Amino acid sequence: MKNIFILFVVLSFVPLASCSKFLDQKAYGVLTEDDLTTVEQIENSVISAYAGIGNDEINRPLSLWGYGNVRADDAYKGGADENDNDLLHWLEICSPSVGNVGMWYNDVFWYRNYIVISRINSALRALDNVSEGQMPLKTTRIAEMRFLRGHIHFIQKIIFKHIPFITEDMSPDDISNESNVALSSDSVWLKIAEDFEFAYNNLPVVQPEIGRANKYAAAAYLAKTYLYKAYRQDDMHNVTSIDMGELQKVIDLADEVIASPYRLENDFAFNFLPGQYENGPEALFSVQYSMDDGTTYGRLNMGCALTTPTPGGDFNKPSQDLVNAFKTVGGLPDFDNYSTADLSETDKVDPRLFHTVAIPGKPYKYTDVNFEANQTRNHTMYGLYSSLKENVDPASPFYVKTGPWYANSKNWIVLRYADVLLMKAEALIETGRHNEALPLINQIRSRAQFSTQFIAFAAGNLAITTYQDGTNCNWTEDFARKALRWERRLEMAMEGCRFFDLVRWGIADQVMNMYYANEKDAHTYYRNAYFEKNKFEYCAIPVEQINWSKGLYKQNFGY
Amino acid sequence: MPVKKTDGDWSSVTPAMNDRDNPARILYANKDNPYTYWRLFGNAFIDVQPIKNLHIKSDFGLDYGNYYQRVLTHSYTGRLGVDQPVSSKMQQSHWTKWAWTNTATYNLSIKKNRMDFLVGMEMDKQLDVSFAAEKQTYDEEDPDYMFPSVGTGEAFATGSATGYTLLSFFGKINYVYDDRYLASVTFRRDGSSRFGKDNRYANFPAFSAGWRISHENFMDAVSDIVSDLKLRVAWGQTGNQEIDNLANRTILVSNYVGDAGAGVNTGTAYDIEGKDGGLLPSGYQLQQRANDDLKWETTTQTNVGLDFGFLNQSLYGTFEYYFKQTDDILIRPPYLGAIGEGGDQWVNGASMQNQGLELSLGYRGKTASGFSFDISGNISGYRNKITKLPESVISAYGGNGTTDIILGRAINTFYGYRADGLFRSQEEVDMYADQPGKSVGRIRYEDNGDGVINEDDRVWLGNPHPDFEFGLNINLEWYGFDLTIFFQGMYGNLVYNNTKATTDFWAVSESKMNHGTRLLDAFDPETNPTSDIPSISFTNENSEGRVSSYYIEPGSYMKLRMVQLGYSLPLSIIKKADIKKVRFYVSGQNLLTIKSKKFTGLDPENPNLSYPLSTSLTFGVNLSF
Repeated sequence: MKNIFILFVVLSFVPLASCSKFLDQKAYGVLTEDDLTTVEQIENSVISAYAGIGNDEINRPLSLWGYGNVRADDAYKGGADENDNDLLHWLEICSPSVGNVGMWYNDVFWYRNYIVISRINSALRALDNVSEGQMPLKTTRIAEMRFLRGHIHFIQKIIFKHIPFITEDMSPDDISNESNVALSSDSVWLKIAEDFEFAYNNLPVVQPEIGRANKYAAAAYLAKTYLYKAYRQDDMHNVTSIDMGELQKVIDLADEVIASPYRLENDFAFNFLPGQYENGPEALFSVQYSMDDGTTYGRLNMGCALTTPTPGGDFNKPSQDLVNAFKTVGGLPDFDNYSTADLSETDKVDPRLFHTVAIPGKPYKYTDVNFEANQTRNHTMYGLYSSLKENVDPASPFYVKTGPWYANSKNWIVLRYADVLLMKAEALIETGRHNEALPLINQIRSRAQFSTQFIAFAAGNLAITTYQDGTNCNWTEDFARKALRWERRLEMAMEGCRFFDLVRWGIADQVMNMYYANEKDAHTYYRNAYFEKNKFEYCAIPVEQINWSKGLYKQNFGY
Repeated sequence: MPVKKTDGDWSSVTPAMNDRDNPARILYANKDNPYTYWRLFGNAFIDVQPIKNLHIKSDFGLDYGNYYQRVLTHSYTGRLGVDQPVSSKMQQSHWTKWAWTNTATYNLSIKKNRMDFLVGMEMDKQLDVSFAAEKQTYDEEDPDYMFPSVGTGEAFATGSATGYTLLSFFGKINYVYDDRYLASVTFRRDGSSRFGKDNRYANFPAFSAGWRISHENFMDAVSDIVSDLKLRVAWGQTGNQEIDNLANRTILVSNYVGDAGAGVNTGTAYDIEGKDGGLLPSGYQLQQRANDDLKWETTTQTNVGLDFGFLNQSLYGTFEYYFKQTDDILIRPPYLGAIGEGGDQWVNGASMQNQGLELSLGYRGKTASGFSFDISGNISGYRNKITKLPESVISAYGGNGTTDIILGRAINTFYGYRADGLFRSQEEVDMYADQPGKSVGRIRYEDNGDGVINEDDRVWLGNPHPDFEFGLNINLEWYGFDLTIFFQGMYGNLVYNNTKATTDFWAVSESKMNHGTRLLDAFDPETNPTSDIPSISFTNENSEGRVSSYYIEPGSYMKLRMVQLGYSLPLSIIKKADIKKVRFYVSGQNLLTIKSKKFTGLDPENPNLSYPLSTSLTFGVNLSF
């Protein structure tokens, strides 16, 4: 008994002796930012920022089909009915309801963009901890990160106008005290331009890994930034002036891209096909998606998972107005009468129609299987067309079921060489050099003309020619502007940029109200739609964010 | 949607329907996914008494849980005939928790003084480990065959561990003098691994005192009437550490797999080489920021109570008042979106106070005829108020973050729009403030007078705390029969009845899904002009899902929780069989709910549950040998 007692007393003191360490519970399977010190780890932080731009979400994708196509005259929302993804419905018809509290769409989009920005800034902080000697690619990586930061802020800017610009030196407390109006709208453009400028000055012309941004991608995005910035807006979103110096920068930067190895694809279709076609000569910068990569479903383009013609999706449906816009007369757009009658079997059209829009009874996405009317969920509301560019052949291995949706692993092209040609053409026209814009636009039309190898079924309907001054048109500044804007619509249709083009040009209200008038008989949900100028050019700053900012954030004009 | 097609296959949605799977198929498929859960617990102790009345005790307790499941995903021809991958996932979790308590107690009695001393310490540690392995594609879709080893498709593995430790030192002295005066002092020092390094430990003192008045000599004269009377006061502090194990840490993880299943990708891997597949490089995701200052949430409570019994304890009860102050409430507040990933951080937030009164009263007795009864009831109420609100969490408890803050109000007070009935005529619509989406039959939201309905019109809408709660217990016995009846309820609380989104509107929740029958009584200017239910609308233009008083309803209820009737066979019969007791009983649970007429849901106690609390009837036999 006595021995047991001694043993017991000794045992009782063991815990007392080890107390000081007992509460040092380890955290299993986690790191801290301080752990990121090796070059490999810093490179991984950069990867995670790239992953951010590919981490798309079905309802509010960075491909901007909602904000860029549906809100414009290119697409109907689609889906089951108006109530399916309803904020997009209110945006589509410019309903005052978009400003109502409880509209979850904008708030989540806003937040998700800052998630990507925080990853980028986190990588920039990690890069700051290493010397050029330890990591020779340090400056290149910083430049890549600033490219991505410019990219996401750009998207945020064209949707919300007044946004906080977040940099790597800002602590969470600094960010909490940064208002969305701390910088003027133009100063935010300048900040975005600075990021792309840094990228442009420091990125190599070729990156060994194709997914990384390079100098030409930065030049193109910088050109795009100056193009948007050049159209000065007042606080009520009126375009008040156009800065010629900045348009000249657009021209100079575009020239650098034009002088690069990048070029137009031989066939328009190659831009919108998976696998071997990805990262082609026209793709200046793409989001790299993949499959069979050890993640649950593959790193797929979830941003387009709602736009497949399936029961879980069928959103982003090309509008009749867009389809009609492809009609040609004498090989040129039917500028004045395109919408007087809907496209018929006998109409002549621009070949790009069949690359952009799936039409019932015609082969779907270059396959021998026809797209069928019964793949549409609600044809009385949203018509029978479906969007092709972002989609793939459902029989191909790139088409993957993810829960109730289907997504694909095809890259999403952020910046296309054709876009750069059109940016330059636009800058030339607005600076009074419209004659120089003519060959650029014709270059795009010629390529379209020869993009027929996958659409043989439509051969009888195709008719497209280039503009020939004095022969089939009178290439004045006004005509050039009209031709450029039309060309942009056709070439970039359903690629998420139409609405922002209209706002940049200051004509969103005219175009949209005309569109509503044309469409409201066939699509009755447009009957009360009205684009209120000085309001609907931008989305409301999410009320939730104004709340969390403790009143620091200011609402956009008009809301 | 029919459950099955004519060919016997599960049916699935058509293009016009919502993107839901066949629920019967999901339930059926789940039958192959049973789990086992084993739990083992117990303790062992050594108690030695080196000298009289001194006990040194060491107690070791162990609690171990083990969970295993194999989850099979079957092929299924659904929309457009595309199958989902067949997979088998084996998963296992272990929970290990031990506590080692070492105490020394000493009792001392000197004349009328009695003292108990206790010192001790306790160590607690919990470690949870889980892992899973999944493989897709099987030659045969047979549960007996589908084990990951024989799968031929993609493989996934997960595994994680998390734990925490607690370390406490404590001492207690009880003192009783002549059973009349009672006092006790306690001191605890608790440490938790969940807090910042400098704030792991906190001290929690407490004391209490009691005076058994009924034992005083001067009460002898009334001892027939007053059988027990005790006054007690207590003051003490307690701590709360019920937060995530890693609450104070930075959480930066590699999230290779991501999660695209919910329609959103969150992963950290990227195909930077553009090779379209294969193993990818992967980075990190910040999920939480550290907070080295995170400390214990502390509640300081003061009680004054009176226990009483009259007429030889046949009338008995207690009366108690308490004042409770909770400081440094642990919270992970929502944060500004611009902070981005990893804005989450545990902090010590607001302080609140609760003041309450509790009264319980019982009456028991036995009549000459052998009928015995014990009837007791209790009633209690409290008032809650936020008393301190640091700037950093100012919008974390509701309100608009600037002019409307929770300070001075009860925690969880509802904040939103006040629904001011319906627009019943076009004239009313035209006359009213600028409310986006307004029209006849829609909800009118109260305006603050500026002529526009927007977020500035939100107000505090009501208190979710009850005015009082009550219970009533009735026990009756008569010869072999016994009857127990138990009522319970609360009064004066408001609840947010979110099910109204589906019972009262077509388009607030997802349309094309099942809705409640209240919709059938929706307002119509001609056929149903008096209804308060908004007219049926195909779209939700008026944004009627917003937080508003339309969803706030009285949550008062009284429930007959239980009635049990039993009969025990007389001893004279059963003792021959060497049985001590044979009792037959029938018992009913949740037999009756009385609720406010204004509550439109099923159960005010669980207002957002789509299923009512089930009523159950139990028949049974108790045997004691």
